[in-house]
Amino acid sequence: MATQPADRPNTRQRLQAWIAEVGRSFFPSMGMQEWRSILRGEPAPRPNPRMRVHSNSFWYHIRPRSLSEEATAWYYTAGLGWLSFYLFMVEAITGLILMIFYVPSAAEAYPSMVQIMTDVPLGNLMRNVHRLGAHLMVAIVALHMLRTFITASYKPPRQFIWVTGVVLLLVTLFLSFSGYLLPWDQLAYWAVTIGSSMADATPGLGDAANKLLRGAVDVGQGTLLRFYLLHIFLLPGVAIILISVHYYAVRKQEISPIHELFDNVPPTRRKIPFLPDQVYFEIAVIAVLTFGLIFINQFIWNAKLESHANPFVTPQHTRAPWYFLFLQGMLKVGDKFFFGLLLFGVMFVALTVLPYLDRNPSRKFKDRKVALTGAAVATVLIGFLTYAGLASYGIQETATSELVFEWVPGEGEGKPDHVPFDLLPNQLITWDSAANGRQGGFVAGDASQLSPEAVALFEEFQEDVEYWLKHDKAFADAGGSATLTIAPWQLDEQGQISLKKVTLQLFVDQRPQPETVRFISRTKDLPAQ
Amino acid sequence: MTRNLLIATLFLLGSTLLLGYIWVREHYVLSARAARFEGTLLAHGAADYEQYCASCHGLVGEGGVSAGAPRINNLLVTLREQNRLDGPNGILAKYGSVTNFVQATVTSGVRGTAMPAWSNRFGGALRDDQIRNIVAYVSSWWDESGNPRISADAQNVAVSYRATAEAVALAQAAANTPFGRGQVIFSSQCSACHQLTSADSTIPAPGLGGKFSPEGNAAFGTSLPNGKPATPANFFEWVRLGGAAFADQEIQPNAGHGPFIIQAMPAFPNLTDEQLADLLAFISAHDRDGEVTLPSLGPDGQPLPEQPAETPASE
Repeated sequence: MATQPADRPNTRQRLQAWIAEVGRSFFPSMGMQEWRSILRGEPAPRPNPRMRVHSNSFWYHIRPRSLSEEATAWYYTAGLGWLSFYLFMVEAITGLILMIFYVPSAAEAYPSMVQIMTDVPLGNLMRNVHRLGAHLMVAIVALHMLRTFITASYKPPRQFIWVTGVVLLLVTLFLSFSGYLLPWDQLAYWAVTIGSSMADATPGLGDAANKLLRGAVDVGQGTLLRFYLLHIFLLPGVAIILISVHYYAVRKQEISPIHELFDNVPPTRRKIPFLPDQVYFEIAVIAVLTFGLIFINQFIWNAKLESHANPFVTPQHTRAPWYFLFLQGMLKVGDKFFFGLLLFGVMFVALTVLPYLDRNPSRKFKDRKVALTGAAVATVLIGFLTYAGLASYGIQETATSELVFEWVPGEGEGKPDHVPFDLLPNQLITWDSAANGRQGGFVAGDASQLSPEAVALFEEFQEDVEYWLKHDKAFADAGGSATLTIAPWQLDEQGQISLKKVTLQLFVDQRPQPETVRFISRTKDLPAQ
Repeated sequence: MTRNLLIATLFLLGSTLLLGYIWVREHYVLSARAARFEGTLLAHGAADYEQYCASCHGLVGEGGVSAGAPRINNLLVTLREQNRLDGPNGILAKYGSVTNFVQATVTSGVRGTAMPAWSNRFGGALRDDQIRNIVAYVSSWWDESGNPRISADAQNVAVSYRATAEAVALAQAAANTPFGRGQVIFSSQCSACHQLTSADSTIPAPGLGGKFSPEGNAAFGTSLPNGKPATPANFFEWVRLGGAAFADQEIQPNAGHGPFIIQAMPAFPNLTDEQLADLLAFISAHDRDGEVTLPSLGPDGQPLPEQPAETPASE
């Protein structure tokens, strides 16, 4: 008998079957009908086919079928753990792209950074996202730990989740710190020189530890390669393993219930199904955050690249990354071994074993007054130590160094850089803060040619000098004064000014101090983004 | 749920549009960023030039400030006038361009002159990219017309910079004593790198104040960087042969000083015994603060007889 024509599927049916097949390979056990009903917002039939996918697919098996409504309350967890993992993925993706162009050698690292910024399409965006993401990740992981402590989620049966979390915080800090060195600019070089010198304080093994970390006596090629391998291989590997363990334990123990924190809040039994509610929520958050990251890094924030690392030139105001500033602050309080290394070590060991030390079984706020007060004190203390780590704290700032830093810095931008190039003086002009009976005034050049912006610049200079005469007693006692000279310097082929020279000279006891100069290029006005 | 889907769609669309906008502008932004960076490099080159080169070649490359350094701000014309540019053995045939020639000269120095090898590959103080920046700055002066591309103001500043240096040298030469002659040699040959106090210069070179006093100078004490004691004979040998001859005998400087590169000390084979003795007389008189409080030493290591009439008073 001949085949009935009606039995053969037509094109439309074949297409539908193909789509269903593809759909099943991504969402096992879920057919077109289920997807249609999800998109239409219909309630799930019983038995719920949306649950089967969690048993049959590896990726869905990782996530729970449903979350308790308590655990998803934004004011409870603020999604900080989820955000940390999101940022980890952002760092992994942008990092992989940057790795294609980056060369981990002292001679090539900086040129390859320049290549990423000036020659690779979207390279600068990738670098910005990677760098800002790293800062955000450190902050969010730290906040995540603080939240876990405040809500006592580390208590039995969740002690081990906390232990892996503390190690993950440490891994995050070192991931960020090891990436700090890779651009191989002055900022990177000196921040890492300061940071890695902490290893010096290890009793007995200080020298060996330092050499192990740096690969030599000073930060150099060996250090760069070590930090690179830590950054791309060892630490991310450890992080992936620990994140897996951490999340597996969270799934197993479930997120700690919020009602345990209070006396008179009854537990809710309401659950949020993963498919479709939670999935769509997470996709929406990912879309918003990714848009935000691109937007901020394109229009608001731009990672700076300072000049090539130079062991012979120490820039002013060298400091550790912000998340290690509290260590720098501790060093101002006491010595390197006790306050730098021992306290840091004891702090982390104590944090790690905290759930086993804490014998108070209650999670209620009212039973944990000591613990919560301790957390508040510790947070304030860390905040204060971070502030103390800033260069401005505890070290007498001198007019001589601060005026140089603000007006003609060796790195970054000085105040003259903020005036458009053409509005800076086009003829040599000198302002002397001691002229006109210490009122300040022009001592060389024709002030009538100056743009209003340039005049404002010199007036600001006068204010700065007077500020330091008030705040630096030694400078005032020596009758200190300063002159600022701006002169056109280099011409280009068309005879246009291409470089202007800013010269700052300080006078102490009537004696001229060595001049500090900074050259400003016409190209500084070109857009950076 | 529908709201979440809507938000997700909107923001994914937004991200796509944003990336598209960035992508379309990227060609222009990349070249602007590259030009910006070039400008920064030129500014760095200018700053490095003033730090390392201007003390001999002058602020705007007019030459002759110290150590017989040549004029370098008009090389296209001067090299042609000297017949060194063209021809089978000319610079263009050998180096391809004057810029390459200058880069090679700065990198490896000129034998028999005070021009040291600046590249850290040859024991100098500069990385090759710093040398490239300096050469980019220097070569941006050159113009075929013979008028260097330097603003009039810059040329005036350079004239007064040079006049100050010359006035100091003349005043020193007036006193025809070992100390005075040594001072002239020091300011033309040594002062570009070394200070006569405890402070290291940014080159980096150790401060020489108090080198021949009982406690020695701050960076190396009573030793020379090659480990030998700072006697007149060892000092003469050190200056004549330069650091490169002792690269395998380097000693660590005292805490708070260095790191120094021993090969960065150029050789001065052309200094005569008398000149070295004068130099010793000048340096040995300075203490760690840079004040002239110590006796000038002779080549035998003993204090020279007093010459009250002609020894210039300390500042």
